[in-house]
Amino acid sequence: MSPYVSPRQVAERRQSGRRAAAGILVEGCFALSLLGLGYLLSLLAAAL
Amino acid sequence: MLDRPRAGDWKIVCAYTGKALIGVGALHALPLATALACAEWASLVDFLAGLGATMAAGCAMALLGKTERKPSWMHGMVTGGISWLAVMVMAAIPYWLSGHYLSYLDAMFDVMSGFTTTGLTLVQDLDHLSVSLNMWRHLLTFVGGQGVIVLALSFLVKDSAGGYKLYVGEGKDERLFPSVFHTAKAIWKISLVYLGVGAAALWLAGLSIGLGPARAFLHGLWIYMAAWSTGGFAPMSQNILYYHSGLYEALTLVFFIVGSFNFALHHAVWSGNRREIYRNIETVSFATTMSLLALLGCRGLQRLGVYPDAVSLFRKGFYHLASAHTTTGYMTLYPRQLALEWGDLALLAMIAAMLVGGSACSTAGGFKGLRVGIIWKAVVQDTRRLLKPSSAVFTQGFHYHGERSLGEQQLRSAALIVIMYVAMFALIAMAGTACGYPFLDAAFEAASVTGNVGLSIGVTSAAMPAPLKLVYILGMWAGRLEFMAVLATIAFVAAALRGKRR
Repeated sequence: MSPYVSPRQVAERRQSGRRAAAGILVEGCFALSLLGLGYLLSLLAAAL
Repeated sequence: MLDRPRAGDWKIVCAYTGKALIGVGALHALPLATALACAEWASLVDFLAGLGATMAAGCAMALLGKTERKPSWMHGMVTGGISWLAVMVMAAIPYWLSGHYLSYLDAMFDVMSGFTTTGLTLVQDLDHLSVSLNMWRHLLTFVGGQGVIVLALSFLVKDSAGGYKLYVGEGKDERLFPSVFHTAKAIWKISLVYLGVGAAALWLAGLSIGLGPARAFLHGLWIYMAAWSTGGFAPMSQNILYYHSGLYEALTLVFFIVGSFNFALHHAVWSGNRREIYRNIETVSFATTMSLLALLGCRGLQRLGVYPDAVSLFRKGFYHLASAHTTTGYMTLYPRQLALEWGDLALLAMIAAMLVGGSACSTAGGFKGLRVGIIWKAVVQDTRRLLKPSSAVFTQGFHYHGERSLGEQQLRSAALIVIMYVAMFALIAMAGTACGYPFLDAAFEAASVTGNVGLSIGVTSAAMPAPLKLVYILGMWAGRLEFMAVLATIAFVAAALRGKRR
């Protein structure tokens, strides 16, 4: 296997890294929105 | 009557079980290195013994079972069942040698609890475990989240078609790539990237609450490993309560919620399909059931006046509901507080959340949001059918990595798994009641075992009867493998004993 990494492969890896970072951000935001929903439900239960 | 398995069938099962053991044997390298780095010589000897025994057993089985035959579906299922039992027996050696367990059964209980990402524990004096033993506990639960077979597939199994059958035998059926090896590697890549992010975040949180840098790092790493794999192990006996930190609680909440997502969903979102996260039937089902059960649980707590305000309700009520629903088992309470303070309504909400669980093909247990979603869609379909003329033809669709229409086969398999989970929950609750525990306590612990959750109301302890420990081990095993591999294993062994000669 050649140790040479072509510029195209480097660009693909960078893009894959950016997508993974964006994916982590999206999943984190989704989980945080569930936490926010949980807090609203706690407020609602406390007010009932 | 079933046909008696041939020698060739045993050989295939033996060979792949041996490979799973070799994979687990290689895992000993990490706690060994930790023991060396921390100069824990007694633990070093324990891990050397474990490594030697597991590798010897694995190599012997792989050699004994050496064959050119490819595994069939039956072999995949039986290997899935037997290899989890074999790794339980071998990975318990360092636990038992450490002196922190009263019997080998207790050590095996903790291994099964770790590998199935349950999180119940029978360890003695948890607060004074060696660093390397804590590393072993959390490593087992982290690897268990991905799957023992996934571990073996990543490095040791070369046959693609046979590999997929083994993968399905472990209760996973999503292919992220056409090749099962690439799927196994993608699962590891996602888990390891998140491990770096999560451990760093918890390390900073640990520093902010006054832990020393090394201690903050180790605690961050271990807590993250158990949060991502929805395992629930922690290095201190007070679990997450030990940290008394809102930030630590919020971070663990985020990590175990994300950890309970389907690996196919992670892969889709990481590949740029970000809309999948709020369109997928599993996440919609998870958000709906969690909201309903959290409201029910918080209402039960509020009615009894257990917590004075919304913040306490959120930090105690919602945290535990989410911990139960994602099948993590992290606690910020003492177990007996659940029994003595929470009341029936909140406990029933917790039991329901534990049984529903997280996503299919994830680190989570329970009968899974996908199946709840499918059954709900079938109820909607049948209701619509009642309201339409008998000649009307329509299909019910749902979104799960693309639009799909609801089929009879999907509904049948979803309903079958839910029925089996509920039946096992009832049987384990009966076993607990038969051993003298109050019904609600026995039911709570049964839901925790069946759904691989790890929350305890106080039943699970080294003092509980040995038969109940055995029942819990079998319950964790069957719940994690979603029954099919377990039923195939039982049928295989029964056929070997009493089957018809071919």
